[in-house]
Amino acid sequence: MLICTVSASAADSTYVEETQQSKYEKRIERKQKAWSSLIPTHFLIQNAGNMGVISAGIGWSYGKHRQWETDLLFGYIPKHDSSRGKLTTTLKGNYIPWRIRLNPKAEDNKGRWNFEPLTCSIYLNTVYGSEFWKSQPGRYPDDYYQFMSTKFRLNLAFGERLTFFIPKAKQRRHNKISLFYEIGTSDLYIRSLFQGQDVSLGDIIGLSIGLKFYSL
Amino acid sequence: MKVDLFKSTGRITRTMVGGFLVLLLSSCDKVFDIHPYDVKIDGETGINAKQMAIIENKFANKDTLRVAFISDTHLWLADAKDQVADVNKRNVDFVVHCGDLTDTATNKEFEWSRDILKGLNCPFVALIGNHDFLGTGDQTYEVMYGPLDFSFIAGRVKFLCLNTNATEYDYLAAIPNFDWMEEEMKKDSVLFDRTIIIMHAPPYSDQFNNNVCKAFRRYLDFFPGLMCCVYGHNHNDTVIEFYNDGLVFYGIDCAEDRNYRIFTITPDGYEVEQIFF
Repeated sequence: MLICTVSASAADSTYVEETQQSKYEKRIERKQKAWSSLIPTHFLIQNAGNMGVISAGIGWSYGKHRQWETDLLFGYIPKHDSSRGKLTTTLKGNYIPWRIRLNPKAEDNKGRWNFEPLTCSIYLNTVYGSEFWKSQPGRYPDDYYQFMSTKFRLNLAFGERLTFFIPKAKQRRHNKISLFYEIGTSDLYIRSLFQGQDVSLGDIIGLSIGLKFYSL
Repeated sequence: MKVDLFKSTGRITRTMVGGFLVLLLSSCDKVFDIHPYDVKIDGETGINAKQMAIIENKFANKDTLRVAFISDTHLWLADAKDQVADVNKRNVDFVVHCGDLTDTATNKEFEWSRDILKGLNCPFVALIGNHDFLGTGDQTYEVMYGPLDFSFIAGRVKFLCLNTNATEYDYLAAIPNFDWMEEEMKKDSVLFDRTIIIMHAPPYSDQFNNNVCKAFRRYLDFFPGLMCCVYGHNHNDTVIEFYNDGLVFYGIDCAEDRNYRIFTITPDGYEVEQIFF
């Protein structure tokens, strides 16, 4: 009789669990699930890209095929010939429409490779310093400078990626690593392309190279 | 980790990674954009000092001078190129750019306009315009061209180039700099008999500190043999007496309007012509 009861509850365990979970537990579980989505899925580092000589930050990848990403980066502009070095912050959105498996039949211990032939990025960069204003200060007549801000820059970039899936046995901190490059430009430069005569696309684009370390 | 990564890559990927690294290390300057306002200048810097040395060397005591005044290049780069080509045909001794070398004062824009001006077959100097102040543009100007107020002597005429963009400092700085003007009245006084004042923004404009317009006018009278004033900023060819007292101000048009002025300065006076191209 006793054995019979035990086996029955084990086979029907999901039902048992559901009935056993209180309203409170359910609520907490939902809450934890919601907040856990805020845990960054990756760390990244990249150079140039109108964000500084080097930028590093955290990011979140999401979507059914994890085709969307949001990155938060902090960059550093060295002093060069100016009065001091400057910090920047960037909020970046990426879209990765396709991915190609390079070695789908590879053995488990070898690790697999993906190639992402196109990444599209749009990012807002802000540079810190009293020299820069977010909107035209009151000392100027209205619409004096016909563009929004010297502090905020909207940038566009397109690139490609190579992703390495670390074999399970060798995973330590990360489960995959992406090497990427981007070719991008900034709103002021796009403006100069349209306003300026004799400015070519080649004059206004720049390269950026970076690495992404995924853990989730 | 690195060992794993390279072990499992094919030869192709290894080459790709290597290629990236080589690119990263070899061509850091031109390929990567650090920031539009990074004040990282490629190419020539300290232009005004070098060019003024050439002008003073060649023309310090020349009888007749032909000086072209151009202004407000902004992003009209094709017009600016045509302008340079036109100046090159007209047997000019040197060129003065009256400011607004850029539109948004990014490094790239400073480099673009500089590279066009370097096409001139005669020496040139450039003043700072209000647009050249945006972001860290004034710092870029200072590295690329030099101090914001400067002067030089040619044909026994002192060319006094003044920063008058007071609005850019929210009127908190000494703009125009009267102390510097006082020094310049007396400096090298044996080498010049006459003076031409050059500025970007004229008195009574939205950039000038208009509270001192009249004081500024008084100061100009202390300069030996004051001839006239030249300015840019208004995108308009203008000949005007702002103070109705005989002192003529010549407003130089912008590159887009495709005209500029050439001054022919002789020991007896000067002639001005407007050149269309």
